Amino acid sequence: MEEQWQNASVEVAELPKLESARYQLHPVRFKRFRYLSLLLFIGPLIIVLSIVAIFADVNWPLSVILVLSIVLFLNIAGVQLDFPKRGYALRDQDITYAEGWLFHSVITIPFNRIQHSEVSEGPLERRFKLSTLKIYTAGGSSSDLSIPGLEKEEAQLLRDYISKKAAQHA
Amino acid sequence: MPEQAIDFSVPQRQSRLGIVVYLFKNGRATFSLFFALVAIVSTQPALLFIVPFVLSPIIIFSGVLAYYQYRNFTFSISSDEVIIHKGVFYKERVAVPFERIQSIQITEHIVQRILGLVALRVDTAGSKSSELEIPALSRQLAEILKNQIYSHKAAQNIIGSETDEISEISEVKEATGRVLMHLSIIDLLKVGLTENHLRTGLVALAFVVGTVSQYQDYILEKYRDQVDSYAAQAASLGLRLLIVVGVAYAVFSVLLSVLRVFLRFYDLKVVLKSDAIDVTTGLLKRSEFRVPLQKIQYLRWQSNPLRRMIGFESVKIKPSNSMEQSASSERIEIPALKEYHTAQLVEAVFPDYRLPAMELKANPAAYARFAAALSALIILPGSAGLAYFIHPLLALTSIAVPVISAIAYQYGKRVRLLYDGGHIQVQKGRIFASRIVCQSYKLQALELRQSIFTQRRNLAHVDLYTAAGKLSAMYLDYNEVVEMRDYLLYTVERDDRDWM
Repeated sequence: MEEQWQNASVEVAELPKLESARYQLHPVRFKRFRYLSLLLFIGPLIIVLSIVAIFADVNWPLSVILVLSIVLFLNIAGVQLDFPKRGYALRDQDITYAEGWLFHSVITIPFNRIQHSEVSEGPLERRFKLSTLKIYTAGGSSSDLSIPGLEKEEAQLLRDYISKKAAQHA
Repeated sequence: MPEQAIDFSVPQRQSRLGIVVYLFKNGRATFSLFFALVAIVSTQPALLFIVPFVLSPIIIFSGVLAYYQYRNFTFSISSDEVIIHKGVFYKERVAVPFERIQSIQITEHIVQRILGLVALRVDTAGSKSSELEIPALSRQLAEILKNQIYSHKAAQNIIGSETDEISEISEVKEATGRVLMHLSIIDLLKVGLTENHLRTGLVALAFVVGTVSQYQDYILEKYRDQVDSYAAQAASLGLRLLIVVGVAYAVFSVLLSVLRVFLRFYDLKVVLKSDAIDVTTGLLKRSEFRVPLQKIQYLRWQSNPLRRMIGFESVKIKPSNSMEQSASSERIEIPALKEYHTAQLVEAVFPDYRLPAMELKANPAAYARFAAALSALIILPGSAGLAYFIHPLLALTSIAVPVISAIAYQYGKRVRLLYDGGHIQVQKGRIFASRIVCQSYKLQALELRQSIFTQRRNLAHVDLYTAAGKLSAMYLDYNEVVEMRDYLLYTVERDDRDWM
């Protein structure tokens, strides 16, 4: 095997450019899904604290509520600003996922390094008819990739495509 | 020899002395109970008579348990996996297919050492639960078993060959190993003395503070009078006491690091074989690691000023593993590497290594800016408070901000990422210099990160993921990083060699 592999010189300018790949954005209802999951996470906290503030004679819940509201507001703004920057790009040999507005990250996993992939959907996701595609690599979870907010059929198509590609290399 | 005739396809029991090993294992679990009893009795001696009533059933139970743990534990090798059966109340069958085996380790702790036994552990790339350990084997049997498993594994890789032939080949390979390093006592001492004492001392201090605060109430109550009088004396001694404590602390830290190094690296032996590295190390608990060269994801060299003065570097060998295993693989470390050791090690692990052709330099000003912003945020309010409430001169503590920024600038100047189709090398730091070398085709994911601040300055962070963790570098030129990404992806994607 090792003898067959050769290390010919490469013209850097002729390499395929990831930046020119076309990113596929999420369906718009993914934004609503993220708003709602934010609300479900922070909302109950605010309600409980309000009850405490009303019935007990203490002041601190008010300042906590203020902080939580700011966090909630920033997150909602984040979801809105992040949306146009979030998406995946599929190429012949790898898959790329970009996300984040304040902190933008672009992660690429070559198909010949993928161990397995799966499609999952949580209870809230099911309401929105959305699915999450998870892609696993070897050696712990640090380089695993999870792409939420996909159409169900799209996620399954992607998984099948990726498994097929990964199997070609195994 | 009778051991040679052992047929591992039939389930085997461990050494009978294994009962003692299990007894000890179970004993450790009941140790805390024993101490609780002692604590109760020491406060209320009248309860002394209950001790035998509580302890004897526990002792009898753990004895019986240990016997059945020994009896129910069998291991065997089938045509394609290693199988163990174990369990007393819950019977369990663990099977590891040969192709999933990452490495085999032989270790012994103090009890096993006294009994002349070793434990054999089969590591896999999967989760902790799929690992397999045989805790009580005679050393001879363990070696035979290890070699058998390896030859089975090798036989499986080459289809159609005779099994006997393969095992013969692997025997030959065994013999041709060459010793990279056998650490002498003098070198061991040097390693101990050049440890990072500050860190050892801080860890110990944290431990002591943690323990004391846990038992604070109890200790204070018992020794209240003494503590009070000591406190009064201490206050009157003032500065002198501070110096004494400081010196004692320094001596203690050094002693502790020497002790730690002796326990861990005593009689360290590293053997390079054509397909693996064998490491044997430890004083009370001897461990034996075998890392197949193929599984090595990267090597990480590290040094500190003291070590550099005597020409030593330490290296960590990182094989592919799961998150849970990282604690144990952290231990495959070789201290006291001289330059020629490094050259030999590199030649064994990365045969075609040469310094990568392309070089990315970090932007040191960006490091300085980041450090300035962060330290200003933390330090400035603090020194303002000190100056206002205690003494105006304490405002001088804010000097720390430019000092930290300057250090960060120097650090940033030393951050380099070198790459080409063969290898990737990440270098960092000056005082605690480190460098990582990894084969380019072993990457399994590549991440570019930018914040709105770095975006404005056209900089980016990069994370290169391997099966043993990531290599990262911050504040590199964005265009260069993009070029590197395309190049490395191209390298990985056209290379179908096995990477783990």
